[in-house]
Amino acid sequence: MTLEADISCLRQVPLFRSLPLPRLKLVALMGEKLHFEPGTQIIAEGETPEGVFVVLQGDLEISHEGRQGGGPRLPLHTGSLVGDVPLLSGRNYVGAVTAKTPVVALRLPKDLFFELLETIPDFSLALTRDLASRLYRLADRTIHAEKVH
Amino acid sequence: METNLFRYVWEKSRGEQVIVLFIILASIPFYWASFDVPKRIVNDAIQGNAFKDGKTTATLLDFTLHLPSFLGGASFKLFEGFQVGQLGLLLGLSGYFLFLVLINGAFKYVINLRKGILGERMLRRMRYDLFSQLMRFRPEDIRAVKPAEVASMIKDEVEPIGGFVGDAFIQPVFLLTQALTALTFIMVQSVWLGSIALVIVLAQAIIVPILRREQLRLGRERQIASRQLAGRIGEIVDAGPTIQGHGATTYVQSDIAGRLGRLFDIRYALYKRKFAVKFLNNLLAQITPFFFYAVGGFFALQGRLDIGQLVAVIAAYRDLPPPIKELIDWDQQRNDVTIKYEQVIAQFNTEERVQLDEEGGVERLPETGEIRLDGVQMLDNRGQPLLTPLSARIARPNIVAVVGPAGGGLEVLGRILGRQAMNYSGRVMLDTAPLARMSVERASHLIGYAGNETEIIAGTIRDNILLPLKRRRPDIRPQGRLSASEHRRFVESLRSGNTPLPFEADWTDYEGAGVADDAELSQRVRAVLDVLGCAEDVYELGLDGKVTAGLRAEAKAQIVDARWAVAEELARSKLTGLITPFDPQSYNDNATIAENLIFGARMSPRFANETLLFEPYAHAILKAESLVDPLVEVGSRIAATVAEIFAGLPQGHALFERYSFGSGLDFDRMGELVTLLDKHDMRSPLDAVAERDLVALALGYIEPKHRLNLLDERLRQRILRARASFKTHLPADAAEDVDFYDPGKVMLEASLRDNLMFGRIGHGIADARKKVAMIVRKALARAGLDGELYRVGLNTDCGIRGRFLPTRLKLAVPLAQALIKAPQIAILDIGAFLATTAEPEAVIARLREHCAGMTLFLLVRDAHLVGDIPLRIVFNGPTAMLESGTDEDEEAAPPPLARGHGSVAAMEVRS
Repeated sequence: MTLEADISCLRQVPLFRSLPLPRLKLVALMGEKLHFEPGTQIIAEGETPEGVFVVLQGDLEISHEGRQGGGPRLPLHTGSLVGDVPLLSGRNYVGAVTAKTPVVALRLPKDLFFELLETIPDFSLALTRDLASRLYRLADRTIHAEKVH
Repeated sequence: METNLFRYVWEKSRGEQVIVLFIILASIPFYWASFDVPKRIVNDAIQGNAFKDGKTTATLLDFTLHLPSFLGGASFKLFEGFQVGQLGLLLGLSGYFLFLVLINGAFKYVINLRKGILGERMLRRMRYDLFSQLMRFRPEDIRAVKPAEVASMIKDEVEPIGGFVGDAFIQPVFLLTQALTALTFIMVQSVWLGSIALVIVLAQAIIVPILRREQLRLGRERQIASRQLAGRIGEIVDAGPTIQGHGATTYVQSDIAGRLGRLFDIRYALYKRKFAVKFLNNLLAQITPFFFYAVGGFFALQGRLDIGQLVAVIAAYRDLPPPIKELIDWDQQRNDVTIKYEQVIAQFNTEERVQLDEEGGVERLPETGEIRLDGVQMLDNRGQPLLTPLSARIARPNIVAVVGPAGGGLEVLGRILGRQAMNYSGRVMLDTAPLARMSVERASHLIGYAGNETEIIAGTIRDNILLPLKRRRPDIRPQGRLSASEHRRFVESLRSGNTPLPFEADWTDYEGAGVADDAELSQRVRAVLDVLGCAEDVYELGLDGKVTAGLRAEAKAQIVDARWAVAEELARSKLTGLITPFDPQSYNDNATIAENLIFGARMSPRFANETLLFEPYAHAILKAESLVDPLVEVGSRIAATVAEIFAGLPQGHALFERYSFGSGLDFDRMGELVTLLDKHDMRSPLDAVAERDLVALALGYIEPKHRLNLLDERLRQRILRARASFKTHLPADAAEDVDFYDPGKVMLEASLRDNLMFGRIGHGIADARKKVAMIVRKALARAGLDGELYRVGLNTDCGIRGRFLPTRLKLAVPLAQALIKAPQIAILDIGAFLATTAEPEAVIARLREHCAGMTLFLLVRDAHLVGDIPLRIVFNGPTAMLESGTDEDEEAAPPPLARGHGSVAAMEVRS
C-alpha cells in the first residue's frame, strides 16, 4: 500500500477528516504501519498503552473474558481509533483487542501522539472533537437506554 | 601496631640487623689498615726510613701473629715476606693500599645493599600491616576515612620511614665505628691533633642539631601543609563538575593559590635555614685542616711528629667529617621519621577493631534459633537518634518484612543487622553469640547483606557476583615443582610478613555456596539471577555486546553457526517477514539504499552518506551505473515531501528529527533545496553541493518505512549491479574502510544481535524487536548456545562504579552477592530494585522460596508488596514497631505467626 492509499484511508477516519493534506501526510509518514493476521491479539487486557492504533483496514474486536468466559464484545471497524482513551486518561486497557480480519493499522507511538497533540493545533482540535462526539454518543445511548428500561 | 618505631623495627628485623652489624665489625681492621698504610708509604718508601741504616732491602708482607701477653706473648712468624728495594716497597705498599681501598669499597657495597633490602622489606611489611590494619576497622570507620589521605599515607608518607628502617640501627653503628676508628688513629699519631679534631667534632655535634631543630619544625609544617593541599585538591576534583557549573572556579583557584603561597613561605624559610646550617658545617669541617697544617707542621718542624704521620693524620681526617655529618643527618632523620611514624600509626590504631579470621574454621548457626535485639539504638554524631531503642526476639528461620520510608531507621537497622554499622548501643544476639563481637570471617559466612548503595568493583558482572565467595584460602603447598621465581616470591613475602597466598589462585569457596565445581557454580549464579528475574537482562547485555576484531577465531565461527541457527528458526516460525537477511544477490527492502549499495559495515567516515557523492571512488561507481541522476531524483522527491509536510510548523521541530533519513540535513537546508529545485530548469546541470545533499537524502531511504513509492524494480537492479562493482573494484586503500557483509563472516564493530540477525528487521511488524529477541534466543537455545550467550552477558565489563551496566543489573548485583554465598541470615534492601521490575510480587515470592531455611529480612518502602508477610518491623522515622499478624484487609489472613518451623511451613503453603 502506498502513501496515497494510506492517506485516503486516513481520510475515512473522522478524527483526521478535517486535517489539511500536508498534516495528513505527516501523520501517515510518521506512524508505523503494521499488519496483523486474523486472530492475532493486538493488545492484551490490562496492558499499559504504549501508543494509539488507527485502523486503516479490517475489523477488530474488544473483548473482556469474564470468569466463565464469553464476556462482552465490542466490534471496531476500519477508521476506528484504539488506545487514545486509556493513553489520555493514563489507565490500562479494559479489554483485549484482537484482529478479526487481516488488519492494517497505523501505530502512533505514545510520544509521537503527544507530540502531534502539542505541536499541531489542527490535530488536537480534531481529537477533541472526536472524543466529544464519542462521549456524546455514549451519553446519548446511556440515557436513551435507561428510558427504554 | 607497635607505636614505637625502633621497637617495631627491632622486633621485625632483628636477625638481619645483627648480621649486618657483624659485617660492620668485620670491616673495622681493614678500615684501620687503610689509614696505616699511607703512613708507611710516606715514611718508609718515599722518605726511605726503611733503608736508613744501610739496608738495601725491606721486608714486605711479612705476617706475624702476636699472642696477647696473658697467653705468654709469644709470636709466630707465619710468612717471611718478600725482600724488596725502595721502588719495590713503594709499589708494593701502594698496591696494598689499593687492595684495601677495594676491600673497604666491597664492604660498603655489601652493607649498603643489605641495608637497602632490609629497608625495602620493612617498607613492604609496614605498608601491608597498615593495609591489614585498615581492613580491621569497623565498617563505619572505613567509610569515614578519606580515601586520598589513606592512600597517600600508605603509599607516600611511609616511604621515607621504610628508607630509614635499614639505617635505624646499622647507620649509627657503622658511622660511629668509622668516625671512632679515624679519631683513634689520629689520637694514636698525636694526642694534640686528636684533641683538636675531637673538640671540633664535638662542637659540630652540638651546634648543628640545635640549629637544625628549627629546620625540623619547618619540615613538619611543610608535610602537614602539603598533605592538606593534597586533601583539598582531592575534594575539589570530586566536586569538580559542580564547581565548574556554578562558576566558582576562580574562587577555588584562589584558595589553592593561597595554600601554595603558604607552602612557598615555609619552603623559603626552610631553604634559608638549610643553607645556613650547611655553611656552618662546611666551615667547621674545613677549619680543622688549618689547625692540622699549622699545629701539625709546627710539631713536625720540632721533630715531635714525622711527615708520614702528618700526612696520615690529614688523610684520616678527610674521613672524619662525613661520618659525623651523616650521623647528624641520621639523628635528624630519626627525629623526623619517628614523628611521621607516630602520626601515621595514630591514624591506623583505633580502639574499635574487628577480628578478621575465625580460628578453627567457621561454625554455622544451628538450623533453628533466635535473633535477639536488646535495646538496639543508634545516634548520629550530634546525638540525634537514627534508631530509637528497639528490642525484638525473632525466631529463626523466619521471614521479616522491614517497612518504612526511605532515609529513616529502616536502612540503619539493615546496616546494623548486616554488620555494616557497629557503633550502636544495645546488643544483637544470634542465638548466644553477640553479633558485634563475631569475627569478620564468621559474620560474612552467616550474613548476607545488600544495602541501598551499590558498590561495584572493576571487572565483569560475574567477578562482582562471585566476590563474596572469594574466601577460601588457597592451598599454600605447591602442586608440582615450584619455579625459581615462584619460590623467591613465596619466601620474600614471608620475610616481609605479607601473606604468601597467591592472588591468582582459585579462591572460590565452592563448598560454602553448596556446589561442587565451577560448572555448578555457574548454574548457581544463574539460579540466583533467575530469582531476581534478571536472566533476560543478562541475555540482552550479551546480545548488545560488540563483536570486535580481537575475538577468537573459534568464537567467530560460533557466531556464524548461530547465525544459521537463527535463520533456521526464523524459517520455522511463521514470521518470515520479520527479518530481511542480507543476501548478496538481492535487494534488501528493509535496509537503506546506502546499505544496499555498499553492502557492508562502514568502518570509517570515508563512505558516509553525507559526502558519498564527493568520494571519488563511490562517485565513479555511481556514474558507471548511471545512478547519480535517479538518486538525485529520489532525493528531490524526498525533499519536496518533507518540505511540504513540515511547512508551517515551528522551526527545529522534534517531529522533523523523527522523520530523518540519517542525512544530518536540517530543515532550512531542505527548504533551500526545494526552492533550488523549483527554480531549476532541466537544461543546466544542478549545483554540485545540492546534488551531493540530495544523494545523501536518497541514500537513507527505506521504502517500507518512508513509503514514498520511489524505488522501482529497475532502480533496484541498478543498485545491485553497483553493489557488485563497488565490491569488485574497491581500491586497496579502502580495504580498512568497509567490512563487506558475508554470510560466512562476522560483522565487526556490530553488536552480537546484529551479527546473529544478519539482516534488517522488517518494517510494518508489530513489536518486531521483541519478537526478534525471542527468535534469536530460541535459536541459540536450539543450537545449545544460550549458555554461551549468558556467559558472554555475565562477562560484560561493569566499568567504573558499574556505569556500563543497566540500572536494573547494577541494583541486582548486591542482591546476587548476598544470595550467592548461601547465608543463614539475609538482609536485603530491595526497594530500589523492585522499582525497576514489572512484577515485584513475583520477585518477592521467588525470593521467599529461594531463601527457605534462611532468615530473610526484606527491607521495602512500600508496605503493599509485603502484605502477606505476618512478621514485620514498621518504621516511622527512627522509631520501629514490631508487628506480628497481618493487615485486616488481607483476604484469608494466615494464622498468627508461629515461632520457629511453623512460619516456614505456613510460608511454603502460601507460596
